[in-house]
Amino acid sequence: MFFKLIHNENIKTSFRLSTWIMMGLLVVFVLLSTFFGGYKQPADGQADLQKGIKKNTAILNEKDVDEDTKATAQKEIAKSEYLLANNIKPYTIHTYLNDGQGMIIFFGAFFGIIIAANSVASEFSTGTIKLLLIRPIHRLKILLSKYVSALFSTAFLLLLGVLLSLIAGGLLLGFEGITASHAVMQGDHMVKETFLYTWGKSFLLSLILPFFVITFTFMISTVFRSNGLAIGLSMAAYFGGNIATVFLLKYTWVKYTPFIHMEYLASEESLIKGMTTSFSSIVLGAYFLLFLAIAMITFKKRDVAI
Amino acid sequence: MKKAIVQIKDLKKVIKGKEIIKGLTFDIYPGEVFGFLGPNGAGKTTTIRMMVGLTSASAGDAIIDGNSIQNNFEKAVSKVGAIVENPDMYKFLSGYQNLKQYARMVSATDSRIDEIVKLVGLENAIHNKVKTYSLGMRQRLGLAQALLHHPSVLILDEPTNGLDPAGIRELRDYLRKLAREEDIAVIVSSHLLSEMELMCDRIGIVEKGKLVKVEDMNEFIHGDNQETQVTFQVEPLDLAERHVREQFPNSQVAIKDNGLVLSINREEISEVSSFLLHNGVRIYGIQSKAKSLEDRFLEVTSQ
Ligand SMILES: Nc1ncnc2c1ncn2[C@@H]1O[C@H](COP(=O)(O)OP(=O)(O)OP(=O)(O)O)[C@@H](O)[C@H]1O
Ligand SMILES: [Mg+2]
Repeated sequence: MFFKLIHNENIKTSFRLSTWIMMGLLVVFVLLSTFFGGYKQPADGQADLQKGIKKNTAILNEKDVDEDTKATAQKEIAKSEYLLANNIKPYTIHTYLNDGQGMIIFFGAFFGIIIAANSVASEFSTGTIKLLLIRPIHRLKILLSKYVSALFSTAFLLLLGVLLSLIAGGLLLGFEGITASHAVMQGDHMVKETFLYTWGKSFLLSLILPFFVITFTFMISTVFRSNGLAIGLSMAAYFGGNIATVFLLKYTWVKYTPFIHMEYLASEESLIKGMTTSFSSIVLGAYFLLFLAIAMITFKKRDVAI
Repeated sequence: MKKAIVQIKDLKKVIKGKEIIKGLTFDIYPGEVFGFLGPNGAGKTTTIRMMVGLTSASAGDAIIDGNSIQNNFEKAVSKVGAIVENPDMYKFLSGYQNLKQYARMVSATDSRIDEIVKLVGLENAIHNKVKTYSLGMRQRLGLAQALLHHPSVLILDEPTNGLDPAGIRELRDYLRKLAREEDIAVIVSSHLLSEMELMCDRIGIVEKGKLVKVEDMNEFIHGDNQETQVTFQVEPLDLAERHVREQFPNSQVAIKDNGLVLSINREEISEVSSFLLHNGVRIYGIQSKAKSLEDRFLEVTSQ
């Protein structure tokens, strides 16, 4: 029964115009960035690396260059030398996929926010909630099916973006780079890692923020039955959450705010000391449960008088 | 007597400190068409919302086929098909896709959908988007979704809204047939008595959240005390009115079109006439008119 409910929600989503607009935009943006992004697989990567080392060495020897630039040059040289020593071929598709990751995630977040905002609020604004809730199905099941469906649709769009990028990028720059190794910094030294693994991991960790915001959207949509409010607040949270956190750093309770933890989990960089993966997971988990609980309680108790 | 399928027990609803439904109690039986009648704002829709669990009751309960809608919602509502206020459906889906949505929730088969579509006469438009439907077509689709799962109780909030006369007649015949042949209890709300007249076996009249009367349709129309409206053409009018009010303080007295209008039964006509003549009032004409259904309704709901 629960799957039938999710199926129902998926159908509604697939018939909304906004769904198709978002999908179309994603496809257009991925293709534009692929074919007009100036990406080109070099004919001889090793030679380019040698050239790069020479150029950076020259920078190191110059007089009026500041320390930062020199440090960067130093790192570049170290990396290039590591690549040459371990016979790791540089692939442009790595740069291309890293550049595209943020865009795909942004589309996923935006898409998910719109779906989550509409899924409950629009049933109320159009009055369809009445015929939905007079079926022999517990209200919470209906609500959860909407939530799961919103996540499912978002995952579908993300998958579309990823596959499209891989295929378009592969066609332009060659497919073998996707599964090839590349060098990553681990602590203070370089290690070899499969590119797809590195990329996938960072992709999934970057999804924590959208997932969190979409859950928040869903709660607002359920509590206030307004999709405009839900979209507005969620966008503010998505773009402004980290900025707002900066202003709260002087308080000790900042460690209980959500965005600092998402930033930490995604990038391992933190604005405060003493962060651990488990503490961050617990704080975020608590927020997640709180959002769902608020949504469920209000939905369960609500008098539907439309 | 059959066992009641719907039992409304002292149902109350308080919204923001205001008591909107003030304790309704009535039973509805299988096989009858029950008219839920009342002027705008009487509380029909609010009562129906509580009966289908869309809103909670502040006190009391609605029991459907033995199950409380408050404590055993899924079981109770599984016997109910309903339209509450407007039959709002997904406009961006076709009528058929809408029915599929509800069918998935009650496990109705595709052949049942086809059967119902034919029954409500929507075969030609069922694959068009609902946003292209007229109000009457939407009512038909609303009826279709309410019947998908073979309910034992059908609750329709103002179902004739938007139907043309032929449609109303079709609906009426169909509801009567459902009640008679499938033993379904049909509850129809309306503020138009004339529509209910031919459709319902019994009516319950609500007024300001209270049940004023529950009566068989026949009894209601041919009411017990056959009062008629009698117009006396008299002169002088004000003198006549004063005397009549003193003499018959329990009768309704009004002045309409330069005539004295009284609500009295047959016997009282000559009594009033001789009384008036005795008091120096001249009579130029007497017309009596049987009370219409609407008058009866207005009379009951304005007490
Ligand atoms: N959510 C609400 N908040 C406050 N008052 C309400 C609410 N819903 C209904 N009411 C009031 O309750 C009363 C009954 O409303 P209801 O919609 O049940 O009437 P109705 O009999 O269906 O009328 P109509 O024939 O116009 O459909 C009205 O006076 C209305 O103002
Ligand atoms: Mg109403």
